[in-house]
Amino acid sequence: MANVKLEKINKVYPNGFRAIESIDLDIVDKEFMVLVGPSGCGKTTTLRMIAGLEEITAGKMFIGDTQVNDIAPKDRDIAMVFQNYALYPHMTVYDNMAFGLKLRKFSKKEIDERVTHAADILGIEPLLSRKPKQLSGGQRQRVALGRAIVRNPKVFLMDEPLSNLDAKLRVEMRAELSKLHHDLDTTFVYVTHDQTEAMTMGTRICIMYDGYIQQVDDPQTIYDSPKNKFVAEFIGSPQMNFMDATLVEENGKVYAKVYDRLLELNEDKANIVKEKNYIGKEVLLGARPEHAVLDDDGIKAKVEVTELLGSETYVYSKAEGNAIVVRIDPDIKVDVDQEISFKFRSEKVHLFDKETELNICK
Amino acid sequence: MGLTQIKNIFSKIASSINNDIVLTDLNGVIIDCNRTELNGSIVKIPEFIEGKEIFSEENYDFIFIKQYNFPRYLLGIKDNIQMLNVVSLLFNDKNYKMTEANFYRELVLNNIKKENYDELKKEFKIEDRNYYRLIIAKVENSEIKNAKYIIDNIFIFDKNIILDSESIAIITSKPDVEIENLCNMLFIEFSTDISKNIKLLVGSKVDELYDINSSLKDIYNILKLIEKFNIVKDIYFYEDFLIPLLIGSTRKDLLIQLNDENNKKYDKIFKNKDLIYTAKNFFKNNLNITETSEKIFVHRNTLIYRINKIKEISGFDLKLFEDAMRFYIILLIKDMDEK
Ligand SMILES: Nc1ncnc2c1ncn2[C@@H]1O[C@H](COP(=O)(O)OP(=O)(O)OP(=O)(O)O)[C@@H](O)[C@H]1O
Ligand SMILES: [Mg+2]
Repeated sequence: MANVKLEKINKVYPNGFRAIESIDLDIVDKEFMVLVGPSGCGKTTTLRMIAGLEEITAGKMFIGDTQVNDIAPKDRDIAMVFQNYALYPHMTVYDNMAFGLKLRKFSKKEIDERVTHAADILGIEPLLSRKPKQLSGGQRQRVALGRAIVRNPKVFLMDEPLSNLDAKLRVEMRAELSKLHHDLDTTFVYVTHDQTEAMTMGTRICIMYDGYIQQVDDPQTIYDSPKNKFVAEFIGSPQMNFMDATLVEENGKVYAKVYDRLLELNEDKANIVKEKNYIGKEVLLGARPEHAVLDDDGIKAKVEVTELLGSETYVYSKAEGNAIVVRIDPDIKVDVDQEISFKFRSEKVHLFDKETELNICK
Repeated sequence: MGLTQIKNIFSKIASSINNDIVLTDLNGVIIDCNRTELNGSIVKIPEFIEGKEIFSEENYDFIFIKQYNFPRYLLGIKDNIQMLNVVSLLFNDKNYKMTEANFYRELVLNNIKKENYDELKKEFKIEDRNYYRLIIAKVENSEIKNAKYIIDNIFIFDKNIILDSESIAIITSKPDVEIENLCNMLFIEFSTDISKNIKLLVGSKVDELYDINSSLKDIYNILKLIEKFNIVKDIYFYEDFLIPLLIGSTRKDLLIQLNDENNKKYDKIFKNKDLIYTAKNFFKNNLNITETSEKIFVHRNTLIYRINKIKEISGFDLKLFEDAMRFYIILLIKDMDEK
């Protein structure tokens, strides 16, 4: 069992900086958990507390059934892969992978078994006698992973391991890491600030901001039902559009009034906003670009830029001075300065409280 | 001759004579004596003792005890200078040999005279490099051997010397990026496999190997700074502390006055968390708009808006290096003042 559990964890750095505020997180055995969020939100701090490199100011940390607050990193059964991975330049790939085990005084036989096994999983057996200089970026990254694998850890901790690679290689390595996770069948905790990485690799994603956890869910749920405006904005590219809206009730139906147009809310949403007393109030309406449909009776906006991607076209427009991005069929041609008219699919829009920025219907 | 040996000889002498006799370090802290009540206290030492063979202070006469040929301790005796002369002979270390390792050690500690240096350099066939800098690894006493083993393997072409029971010095001429990578490795390897109590400090660069001691001095300055401001990092790079060290060496009243003025002038920025966060991250990402906006997750237009806002309020255009540097220092003084 290698679940990782954080209970009301706080981190205050010695200089007084409060980096993590009472977070709870339950990382399930064998899952690929991605911690994602903007710079400085506390991802690395959290990972390092799991690793034991950073003192926990308050709260409890468990790996498996053991409380590890006072357990040294070397006794935590974890392995780490970092952004600034480096390999011993003068050692062969084999010796690079074996070094940690030698330090831990493993027998030659055991070391050999483990290194061979890890090399097999990573498909780097032919490279074992090479030196790092004779390897490509991707191969080096694999060796760095190999150094972690030979430890046979219960939990893998990775801090932006791909951020030093070029874009193409990064995409390749993403797929490889997912496969590795599948093959090794152990718990991964993975830190990135890149939402695409998070969405493509995580079985679950933990979105952090300013030392707090915003939401923990699987990628689809995060995308479809963001808990608050921050999450809604953070995930998705181009970003979700946000518009001021007033909720009104007419003839038993509930509408969001946006740019003087009425958008009828579906029954579920209508019931919730009625129940929570939002009728007559101003809210923030969020809608993703791909949920727009051209409609002569819809919101009017002026086209500023179009982005043709072949399979789809994004139109960057302005309605009453506010930017709105919509996705349209690539067969439809629009020109700069042209006026377009569209509606958002009501079952797909989100309503956020203006003050708390929480998703009203979630 | 090591300290244990010195102490052994000392205790034999101390028990067989009647005069008060003390063994101290160069600061006068008593390490051993024959009047137990004095143990651990300090005897007064004249300020300039370098180059002297024997000197007196209050009732004691002192003589240097040399370890590896270098003054390390003082032997003091009350009212009997002849006996001091005789007794000191017992400490002569005839077996001392200047090995290459000793040479580097004494060099780091600034114990080698220039004329000896030139000779020894020839003797050990040491070639010149572009620059040198010192890295100090501080670990727990019990882990020094493990640390040395990893360092031997990571900094394979660099000399390393055990300086004292808790620190190893590495003399390197490697480029910065490589130093950073290797230090990262050392930190990770050591902290995950052995103990997380390791501090790595990278000192300043010097052009001549002979001056390597100033790299060590700079490391001591960083140590003081990180203690004062409770800074915790994996690796402490001299360059990262350059401006704080500079500011730290400025007159305190001047700094306070400056900060007070800044507080008034830039109040609107200081009170705006978003602006401060944006500015700091803009510096961190080398004044690169795209990278910063990606990392802190704000739209580039928002980022540009905030940077313009700072310009509007303060006049500093952070897109320009000079302005950015000035504002960076202003923020640094503010942060230091808060502590
Ligand atoms: N050793 C430290 N001492 C003081 N403050 C620190 C220390 N390390 C990190 N911090 C602060 O804690 C906050 C969280 O840092 P952390 O490194 O966890 O962020 P992150 O989410 O990993 O960001 P990034 O994406 O930039 O790596 C930041 O504001 C950072 O400045
Ligand atoms: Mg980080």
